[in-house]
Amino acid sequence: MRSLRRGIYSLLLTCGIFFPTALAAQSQQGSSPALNEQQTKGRILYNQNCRLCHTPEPERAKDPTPGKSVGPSLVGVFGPPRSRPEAVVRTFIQQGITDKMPGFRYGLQPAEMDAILAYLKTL
Amino acid sequence: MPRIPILLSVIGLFVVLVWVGLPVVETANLPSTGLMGTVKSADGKVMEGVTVSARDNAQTFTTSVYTDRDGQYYFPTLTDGRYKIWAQAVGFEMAGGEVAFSSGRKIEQNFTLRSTNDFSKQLSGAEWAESLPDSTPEDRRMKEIVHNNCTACHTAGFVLNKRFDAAGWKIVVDTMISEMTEPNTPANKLLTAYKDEIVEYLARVRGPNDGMKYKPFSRVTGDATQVVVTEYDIPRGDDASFRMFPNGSNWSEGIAGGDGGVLHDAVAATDGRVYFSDNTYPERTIGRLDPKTGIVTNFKLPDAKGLASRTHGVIPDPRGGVWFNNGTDGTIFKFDTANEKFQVFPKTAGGIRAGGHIEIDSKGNVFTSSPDAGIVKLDPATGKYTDYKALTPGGNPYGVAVDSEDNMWMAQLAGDRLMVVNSRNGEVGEFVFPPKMAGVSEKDQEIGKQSGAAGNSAPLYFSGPRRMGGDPKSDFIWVAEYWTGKLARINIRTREIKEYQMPSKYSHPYDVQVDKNQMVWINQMNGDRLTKFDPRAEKFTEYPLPSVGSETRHISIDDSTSQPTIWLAYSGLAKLARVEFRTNTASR
Repeated sequence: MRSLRRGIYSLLLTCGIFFPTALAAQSQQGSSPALNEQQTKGRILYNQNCRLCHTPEPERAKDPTPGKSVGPSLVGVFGPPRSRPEAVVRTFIQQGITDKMPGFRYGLQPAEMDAILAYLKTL
Repeated sequence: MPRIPILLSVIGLFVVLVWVGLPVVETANLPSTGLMGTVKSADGKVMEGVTVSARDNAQTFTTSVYTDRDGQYYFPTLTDGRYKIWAQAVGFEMAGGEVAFSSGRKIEQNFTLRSTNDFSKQLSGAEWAESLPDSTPEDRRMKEIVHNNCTACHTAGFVLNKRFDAAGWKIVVDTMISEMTEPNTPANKLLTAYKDEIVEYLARVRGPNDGMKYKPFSRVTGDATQVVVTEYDIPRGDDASFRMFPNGSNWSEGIAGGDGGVLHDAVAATDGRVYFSDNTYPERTIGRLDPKTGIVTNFKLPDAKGLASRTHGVIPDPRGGVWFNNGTDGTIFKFDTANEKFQVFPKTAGGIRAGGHIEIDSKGNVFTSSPDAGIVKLDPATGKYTDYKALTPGGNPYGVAVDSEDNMWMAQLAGDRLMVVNSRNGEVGEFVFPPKMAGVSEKDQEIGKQSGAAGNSAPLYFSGPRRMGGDPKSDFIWVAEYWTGKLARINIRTREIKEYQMPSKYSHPYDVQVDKNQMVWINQMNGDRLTKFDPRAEKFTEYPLPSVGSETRHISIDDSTSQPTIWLAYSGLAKLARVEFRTNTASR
């Protein structure tokens, strides 16, 4: 399915149309796993809305040793042993958690939450 | 009989008009070959100041130009390749395509931009801040409080592109206080004092209802459209394939979320390459960009633990090589660009540490600000350091400058003062910025007295001298007032100050440099524009940058080109940008 999508994107790219996807796709070169359009959008939204609290930064500059994060890491959130149901994670994003995490229902459209969920599944 | 000649004359005149007129309208300013075109809106009107960007699929840099008053654009000479090309303007949907370009050919790529009401993500941080409602005295005060407390570690757009209810904003502000500030620091005290009011205001303007009064800046016009901006992707030192998501090139994706911006300062050296500092990420102490190819090379100076030493400031030496501060051990080092070796200058224990901004005087002495409130000077000929302590301790020392008398200046950002060292006798003096008390309530003045200021937050009456530049041909130094959004000119002899309000108060002017024509250049941390100030005409001109969320914190000038060339490091996007001027607009 993914290769099929990739093939369609390549065809559209070659034809010089479907440009916003092309521009987004160019920014996913490198060591990161290849992401589809929705996952790429989700990665962008994750970085803008989630990363600050959920991705550990190194404790000190220049040291690659991971430090702590404000909230829990979301790597593997859908896999064992955590195996969170998608509906639960979606509700967390929409409603937040009292006194711990703000709800994003006013700032993120449903399709944007879908994209974030799609990206989280790649982590 | 006479009817035919008259008719022929009329037809002939029409033909001449068409033959002469059409080319004048459509291609008067365009070269005969290359990549070019016209941009119009959906109603058929030509659009000036539209950003048109092109990127070879095989390269790591993007070239951008701007449409002129006839809606026309053209690129400088490009290498052969297959290019993505796209046009952007705030309030319009991006239009793009892909073209195969080969030299000697003329390729026209025209665009029609359709307007959109969904443009908030396209806005720069300064536009977001300007859009905060301010129609009442209460809202005007809150706008200033948000500006002084929530827009310095990141741009205003990073905060304001989110919407939460009061409970959500309270969690955000509480987290900032508990996780991002230290107890009893100015930032902690200020946020704590203003927490309830910030939460109420943000929930009202960026809550269940959107209360923003969006004020996109007008597109640039005239001479300001005649620039070529080349933006180079800069990977991390520990990840050669690193890219940011988003990377600012597609404005509709919004401002980046700080996922790895690595850059702070960058300068062009005498070898034609650009050297930049890296104070954050592993495995790189300094980096080098080849502007012709976009290739980045990393160099590591290991510290005692084997980690890459940290760098922040960088200055080219006109005699060759590049100087950096070593933020890890508090010394100054030189990178020999010819043999690619570090030349270190150990500093005896007990003195103050070198750090922050770095400058070089006319005799070749190098100096930096010190986090220990002073200036550290190195004489490269002897390897001897000289320490100078500020008259007033603390104050978050940061920017430095050298004036036309070789006096050394240092900004105490959170002290609203400048330290100055007399080059003839080493005497230390200081200049204090007048507090901006007008319109600041007694309550806010009292909060300010209790909190004090920090580098990234300050009471409402602070100016915030951040970085500065000297003019070797005049009696002035120029200072970026971070909080007031002003450019300050200080006479080095009389200490008279004159302040000029930048076009956007909320742009966060960060650094200032003066070029060989005595034009003053200012970068904006919160705005995606480059500002020139003509001291003779006392006039600002703003030039556009092609990426949203650039977050520049340093500016450098390469005076070796006929027109000065500007280099900017995008701290928010991991890119280096070169700004070139097509005409002599840079010097007038």
